[in-house]
Amino acid sequence: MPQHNRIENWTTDAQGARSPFSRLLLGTIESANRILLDTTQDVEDQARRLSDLFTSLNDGSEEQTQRLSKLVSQITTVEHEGKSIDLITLPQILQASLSEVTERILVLSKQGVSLIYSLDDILCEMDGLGACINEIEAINKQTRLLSLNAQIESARAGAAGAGFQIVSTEMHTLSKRIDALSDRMRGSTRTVTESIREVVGSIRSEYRELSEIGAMDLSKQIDAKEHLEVLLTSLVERNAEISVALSDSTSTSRRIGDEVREVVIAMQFQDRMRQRTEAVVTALTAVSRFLSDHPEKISDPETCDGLVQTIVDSISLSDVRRQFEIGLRGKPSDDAPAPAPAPAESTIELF
Amino acid sequence: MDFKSDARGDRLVIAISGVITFDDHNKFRGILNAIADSAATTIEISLADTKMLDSAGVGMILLANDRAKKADKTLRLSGVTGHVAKVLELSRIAQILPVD
Repeated sequence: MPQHNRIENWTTDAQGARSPFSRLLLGTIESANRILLDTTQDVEDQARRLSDLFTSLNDGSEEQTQRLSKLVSQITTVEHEGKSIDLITLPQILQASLSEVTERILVLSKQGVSLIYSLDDILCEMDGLGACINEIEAINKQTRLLSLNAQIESARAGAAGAGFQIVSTEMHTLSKRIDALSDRMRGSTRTVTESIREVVGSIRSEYRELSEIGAMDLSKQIDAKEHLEVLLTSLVERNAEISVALSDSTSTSRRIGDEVREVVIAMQFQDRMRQRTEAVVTALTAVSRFLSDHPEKISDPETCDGLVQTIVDSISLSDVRRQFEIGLRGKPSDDAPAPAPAPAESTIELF
Repeated sequence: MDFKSDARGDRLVIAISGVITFDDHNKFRGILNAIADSAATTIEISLADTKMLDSAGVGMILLANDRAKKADKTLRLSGVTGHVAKVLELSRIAQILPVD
């Protein structure tokens, strides 16, 4: 056939040697193959490097957030006796201590005043006791005078008054004992009264000294309480700000992580590109080998059909195979059962 | 410190003016006696004209409350403002007796 002869003339001369065009076609295909392979490798290397960088960026972001969380935790707590105490609770602890101290001051104040009242009452009673002793002494004085009069009268009565003399003498003796007892009572009363007055004076002096150093008017406690309230409010506000900042940082870190993962997934285009390029290279290699090994058969329909089948069978990616079928046969082999998922597709490498 | 007591039906109102410190404990006995002697079942101590009280003053008010309780009477504080309010808040006296 003249047409076949013309095609054969492209690739072989009369002696069956390769024609210049055949060598050009072979050289072009092989060069394209090498360039495609180099490009694929280059893209793969760069994509892997980018993927590693993005992964490292994501890891760094997560580490940064963890460090920030740890730092926030460290600056908001203090260690005391092996326990971790939240700084925000410190003013509350101090306020509780302050309240306790204030309560004790009030209890002492109340007891002090109560004691003063009781001692004042006792002093009143002691005054009453003193008056009673005075009265006893006055009565005793009268009794003594009476006994003396009785002694005088009994002496005048002579023998008839001897018995009365004894009674009046006993009365005088009793009167002296009452005097002695009265003196002892007065002494005891004076001692007790002086002691009580000393205690009262001491309590008053203590109160005065406490008042002078400002421990009584509670103004220092009021100031401390107000300062603690301000401190507590500031700490609560700062804690809230830190929480918001930490939350923002965590959200940002999470968003960066999500975006980096999306980037890494998007970079899987490189894997598909590599598989497509490999399919093209495989097809071109088959054609190149055919041209190289069997230049005399380029016009043989059966041989060419076999070559087409070889090319189609060598392609695992279904969409690429479909394109080759359309290009080589004019239509895809839709009647054929759907090809099993290509191993290369199902094992797309995730970086 | 000065005080005036005013019986209003079943209520005895004792208005304290000036400052209440330890030095006023003798005068404060008059208040304790007024509480004990009154037939009123409700005692109101008005601190509206009280400029200041120290811890002894709070102690005396607590004694007045004890005296009122002992006599089956109820004591309450009124007119609490300024420094007096701060001292009473610090003392948490509202946990012991009503404060208006």
